[in-house]
Amino acid sequence: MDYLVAGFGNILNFHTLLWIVIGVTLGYVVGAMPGLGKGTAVAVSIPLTFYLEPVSAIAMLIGIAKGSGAGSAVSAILINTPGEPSSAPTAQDGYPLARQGKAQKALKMGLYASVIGDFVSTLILIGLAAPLASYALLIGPVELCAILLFSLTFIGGLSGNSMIKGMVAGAFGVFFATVGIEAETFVPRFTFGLLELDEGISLVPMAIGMLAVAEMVNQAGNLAHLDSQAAVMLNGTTADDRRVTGAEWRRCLPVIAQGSLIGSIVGILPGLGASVGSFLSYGAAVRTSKTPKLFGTGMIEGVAAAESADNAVVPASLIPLFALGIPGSVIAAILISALIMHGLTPGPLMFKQQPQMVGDLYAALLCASLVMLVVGTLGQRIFAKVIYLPNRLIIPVVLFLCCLGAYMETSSVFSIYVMLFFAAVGYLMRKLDYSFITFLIGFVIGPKLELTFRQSIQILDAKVSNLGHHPISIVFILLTGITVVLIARSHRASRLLEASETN
Amino acid sequence: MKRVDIWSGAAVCVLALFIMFVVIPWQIDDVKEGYVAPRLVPQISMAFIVLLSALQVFTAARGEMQESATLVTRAELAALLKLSAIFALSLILYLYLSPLAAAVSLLAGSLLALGERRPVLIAGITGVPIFIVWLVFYRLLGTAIV
Repeated sequence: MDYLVAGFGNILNFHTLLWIVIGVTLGYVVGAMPGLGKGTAVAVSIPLTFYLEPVSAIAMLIGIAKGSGAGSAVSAILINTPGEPSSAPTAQDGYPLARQGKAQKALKMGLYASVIGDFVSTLILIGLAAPLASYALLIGPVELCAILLFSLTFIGGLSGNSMIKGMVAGAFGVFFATVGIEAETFVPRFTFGLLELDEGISLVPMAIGMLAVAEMVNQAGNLAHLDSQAAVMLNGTTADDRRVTGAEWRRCLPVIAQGSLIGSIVGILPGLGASVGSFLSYGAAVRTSKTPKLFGTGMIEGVAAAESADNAVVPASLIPLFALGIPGSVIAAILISALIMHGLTPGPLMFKQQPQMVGDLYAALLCASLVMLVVGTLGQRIFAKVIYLPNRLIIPVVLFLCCLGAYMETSSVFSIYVMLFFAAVGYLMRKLDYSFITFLIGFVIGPKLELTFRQSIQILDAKVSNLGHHPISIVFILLTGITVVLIARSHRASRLLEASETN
Repeated sequence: MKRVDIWSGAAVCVLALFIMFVVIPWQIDDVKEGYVAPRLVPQISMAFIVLLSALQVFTAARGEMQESATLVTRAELAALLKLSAIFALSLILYLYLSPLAAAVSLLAGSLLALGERRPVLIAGITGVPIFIVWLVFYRLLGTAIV
């Protein structure tokens, strides 16, 4: 608590607050653009933070992640095209509200629900991460290897439509993490004689290529569709349609509380992601409503439920990252490199080694929630206009920023080659429905997975029977098997259901 | 998309086998005594991918795969080719001429490729980002892009 109070002292200055405001504003604008998600925004922005103080840099990146979560509701409400998949349930009722001339009301409720969900989830992060980390310190390499394997399987199984493809993507991620000089034997692996690959593949150009460049190329092929969506927006509103009334607040507050809780729980579980949170919350709101049949026709509760859960997922997904060093989402995976670059290694030890930095980070997270409210309230009308910009004007600038971001990582054109290679990989993965999120998470946890696996072989003397001395690892190995079976069954059941509905 | 899943599974399977039997022995030296083999994790990853992609081919052939993959449309293919050509041109200009020429080619080239024809907009959207980068990197930070 003392560190948190001191953290506020450290960040409540013009310089740090300015970067938080810039981050949230940038995130809000990027989030409002269809197809440009928070992963893209954070990945492109990491190199821009090289010259900032660690706290300002991380606060800015967190501001971008939070801002884009809230901003994605803008395009969902106004043009029925979610800025991110997690805002798809927002469009269910937000777009009908906009068509009724109540766009301002829907946008305001989306913003308020986002801020409340985000704030509640940040408080849960602050309350849970440190106690969990103290337990994590008791975990040895054998247990950690089993936990990492379980996490990767869980994420692979739940990201995308096919468990098999998800796990293939995760395995490829782990494989690409082995590029470079091996730490124990100093044997170079897959370097092809290139000195630039001795230290392995850098995450930043890889993430920029897979997330941003691949998405821009994808969008460039669908320009007509995206631009036509923006053209059909209605604009007529009355004074009462522009604000959230007291009666609406009373109806929405329980839904927001429920959504914040659902989003936080979903965020803690690795791999589920914001989409699962917002859909679950929307479904729960429909089930608990007295008028469930009206959902989808312009119920303000639908917007509140989806947005509160969507934004609660981001801070909660940092809990496994901070407590165990395991990235539970693509944002967490990308933030790892930024945190390490700025001197903070995520994991249980950071609470002991750099408690003040953690306090600063928590203070920045809380401030970013409030800044999001201010920036959103003041700039919502202006940001809403961003969606009317034709994509053919946005894509070249984003591609330029991608090249700049990749170049700045190493000040070498080699990073741009890496970016382009993974842009091609990311484009193919999108088209063939392999999860690039699982790939990136596999790449991030790959080095730790390999290290703990090697240590485990030595600790266990290469005998499986010695696993009996490590009951926690046995539990997680069993959980991995159970997870595979359960996810495979649920995928099979959903396929059969779809097939029967089609027939 | 059953056929796409069968072909993508088969291609991934062949790629993983190629990496396992050709690339790994070629690119990773044999281990010294007493160390865990540096080939171990790459080989396990590839073996895992071979098994999973074979399973993908099998389930897709049995009609159990969900119809999820999307084919590339003509417009998408055209955009992919145009942007690839612009990146190639920009890299050549970067290597043999200057970073400024590469930036102009990337911005103006992709604007033209995506259908923008208004000269003022092309000049503005090309000039403003380059000017900002010049201001930030060359003037404020003093770290030139070379």
